[in-house]
Amino acid sequence: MSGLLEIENLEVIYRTAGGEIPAVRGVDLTVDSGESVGLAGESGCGKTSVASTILRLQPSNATIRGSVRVGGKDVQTLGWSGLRALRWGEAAMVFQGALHSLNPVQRVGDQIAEPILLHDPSAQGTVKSRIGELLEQVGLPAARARAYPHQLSGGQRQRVMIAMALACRPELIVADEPTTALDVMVQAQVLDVLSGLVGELSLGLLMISHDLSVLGATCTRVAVMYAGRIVEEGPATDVFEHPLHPYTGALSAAFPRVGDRSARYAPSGLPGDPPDPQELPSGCTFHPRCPVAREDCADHDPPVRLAGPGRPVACVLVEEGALQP
Amino acid sequence: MTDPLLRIRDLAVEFSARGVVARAVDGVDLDIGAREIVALVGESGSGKTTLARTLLGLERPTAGGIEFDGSPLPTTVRRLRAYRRRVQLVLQDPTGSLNPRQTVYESVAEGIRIHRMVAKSDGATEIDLVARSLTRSGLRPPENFFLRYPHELSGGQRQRVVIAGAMALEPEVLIADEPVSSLDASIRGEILALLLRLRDEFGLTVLVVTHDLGLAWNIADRIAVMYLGRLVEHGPAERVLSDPQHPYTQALLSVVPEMHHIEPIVLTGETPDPTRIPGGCRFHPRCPALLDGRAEAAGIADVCGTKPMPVLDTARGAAAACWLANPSSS
Amino acid sequence: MTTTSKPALTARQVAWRRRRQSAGRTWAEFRRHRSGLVGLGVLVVFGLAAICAPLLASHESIEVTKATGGVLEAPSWDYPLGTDADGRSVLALLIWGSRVSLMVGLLATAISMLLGTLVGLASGHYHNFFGKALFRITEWFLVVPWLPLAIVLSTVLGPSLLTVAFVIGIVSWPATALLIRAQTLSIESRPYLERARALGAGDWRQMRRHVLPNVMPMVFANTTLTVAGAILTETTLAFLGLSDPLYVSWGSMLDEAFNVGAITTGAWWFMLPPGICVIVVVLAFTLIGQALEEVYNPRLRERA
Repeated sequence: MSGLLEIENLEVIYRTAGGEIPAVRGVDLTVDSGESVGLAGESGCGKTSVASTILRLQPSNATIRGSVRVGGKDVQTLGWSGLRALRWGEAAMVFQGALHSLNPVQRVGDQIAEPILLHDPSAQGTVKSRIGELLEQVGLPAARARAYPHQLSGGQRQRVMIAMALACRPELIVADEPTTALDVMVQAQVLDVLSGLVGELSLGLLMISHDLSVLGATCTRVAVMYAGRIVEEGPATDVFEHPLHPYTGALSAAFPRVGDRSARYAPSGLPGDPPDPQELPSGCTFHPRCPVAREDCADHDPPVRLAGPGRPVACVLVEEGALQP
Repeated sequence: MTDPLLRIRDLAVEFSARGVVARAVDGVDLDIGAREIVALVGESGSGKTTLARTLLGLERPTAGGIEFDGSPLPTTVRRLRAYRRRVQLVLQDPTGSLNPRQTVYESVAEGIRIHRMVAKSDGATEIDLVARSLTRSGLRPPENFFLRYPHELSGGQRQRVVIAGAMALEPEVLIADEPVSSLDASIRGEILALLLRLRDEFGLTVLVVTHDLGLAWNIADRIAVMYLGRLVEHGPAERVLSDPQHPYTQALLSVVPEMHHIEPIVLTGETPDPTRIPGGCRFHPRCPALLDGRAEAAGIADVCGTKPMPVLDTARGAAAACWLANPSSS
Repeated sequence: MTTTSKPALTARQVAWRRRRQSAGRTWAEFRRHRSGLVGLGVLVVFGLAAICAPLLASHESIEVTKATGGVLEAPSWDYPLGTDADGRSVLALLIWGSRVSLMVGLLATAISMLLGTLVGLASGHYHNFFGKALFRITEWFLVVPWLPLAIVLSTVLGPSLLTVAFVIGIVSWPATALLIRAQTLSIESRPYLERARALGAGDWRQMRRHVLPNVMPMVFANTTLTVAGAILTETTLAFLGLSDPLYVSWGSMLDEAFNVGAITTGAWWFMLPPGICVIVVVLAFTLIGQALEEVYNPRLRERA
């Protein structure tokens, strides 16, 4: 069956005064209805660039290669009317930093109504009840529609953003760092709302975060990005608890399991910094920071190998079929 | 503990705006001993940042007192400056913490110049002191960083520069407010390891203010959990995180994403604000123990909502400010 | 680079080099704004004319007693812009008048910027009674109608170029002070100010090393716009006869032209040139100021 979201060999290159910056260097990703997929990675890895292509929101100086299909249609070659129908009607985004994404001088209810009325101007009569319905779906009382953004807390604003994303009944939701900057309890509430919606409405969810543990707990599958490519993918708990790629291992260890004695007074991290897309290391881009790098890692970029069914890994130390007995 | 370095007693810090009073810190007793790493855990609105800033003299206490090394916190400008040599600060956002128009050298040298450390050092020049500080923070070779501007550095490097600037004064206490929350995951470990190393090598005492229990597990000796201006739980890190007594700590721990084996207790409602503190136990409107009947079963349900909870006496080893956890005291 | 013989000097020298580099970048960015370059070109022309006034037209040509032309003669070869009511060459008057207009404008701006920056910084930094009082004083001066104030002050202090500059400065500093105050408040809320305080920096150090350098770009851009305003104000005051009668300025030329009835008699060469000069110079400063604002703003955004 054709997936809800199919990204094939995606490349995103930014043309700047300083040259070409390869932000995304060949990414394959699929999301089906009722599935929540996590995209993990740190700053500069290209995950936001990937997300921006799904609704064709990438900046004008970006060159796209490969294909991004939503519901079978190639987003990058859609005509204007097709794009309008796609945006919010079939796929919607929950942006990072709800604080700055909401218009401070407009009531929250009006902001949710905006996409509804844009897609269907005749819905004027029913829009109020739809707003109430949406707010209740995200766990807010319908009366909150009359509030201004500054009257809501951080968690409430993020939930309003989710309600806005659901406004036109999309099939796919892309959430870019939905819980960063939120308290851990509020984060739990927001993640609960998201997973509940995926179940209730059979949505497809692509969640982007640098917090691998959040993705591990909320998503069914997780893909880990480093320097523009996916270096590991697989079932969420598997990737988090039994990482195969050394980078995934480091990411996972950065959020220690409370109760794990070996993590006491032993914070684990990687030396150096996430690579600058303008100056990628040669060979395997991770080799300068890799704890188990070999001599030839600087020469060859490892191909993606299937360590097991649905478990691609891009590391020379992981053999094909390594997970199979 | 033998003669704590920092002694906080009955501390209260209030803010008033237009007649509305916010009791950000509403009665805290806490001791911090030398060479200890204490994690002050709480969410936004808990008052943890206000408490940290008051310890640095950036806020004035409304009531109660803080003693450092036996004497109360200074209030005059000159004594406050001397105090600041001994107690230093690392803020959350390394990008904002550095003046974009100053080079790394100037940022680190600032504290050295203010406190005239060159005169007090044994023959070392300003360059030597700056280089030493940068090296200790892991920026090697230091000369490479002297003339760089903050926007040319990565997030982790910026945080190291901030730490170097604080350590240049050779303080005894370092107060770190969310030191790694805005840094990439893969470099958090390095900064936390740096803090541990500074404690081991230079006898630094660290108070880490954070909402991240995983961080506390990584580096803290003791944990104090704050809710709405008061401490609700306190004790050795391993005890608090493996066997939390207070329902709030239990809930916080349960929603940490890695804790699969604990059923998450997601609290309803929002963190209430310090201008409207509930009566009785301040946590009672959201307390899972009250909502699921455990309090009722223990016969204390009515006490939770009415009897005011005393300040947690951490000096005497009290662990949790909860009637359910301490049945004898209700 | 392990020099312990000549310490801080080396680091500071190279830091200076970097500042010069950054100034070079600013210039390169400014060059991309054509409007700013046009403004700069115009100013250079006027500036040179003002400085070289004695070379372009002898001082005698503007002395009433030595006037050689006829009354209100139309432009001719001898007098490219005709003559005024006393027979002096309008072109010569224009050239010498540019000196006064520009000088007074610049001096007034200096006063205004100095006062405005000091008060703005102080009222933004000090949140005690002192700061609040300064703010109220700023607001008061802003609200008082400037023209009556200018008239009163000029009358009381007597008409001289210095007085005029002083009056203009007094009248225009509040706008600058408000701007600097807003910028100071914004900068002081940034974490690096808190860090400076935590390190032990006193008020003076905070303002000098942290607030002021970050406020300067805005001050710079604002200065050019203030000069434009100051020149206009000087012209207005001179037109009203409040300027120093001993010196010719574009405003005083307009005043004379008005008194002599230049419009009704059709002596456009007396009325138009000073007005056009004022407009052109003010426009030039405005263009430069706008270009500077654009140059500094994105940098402030990317640095913050």
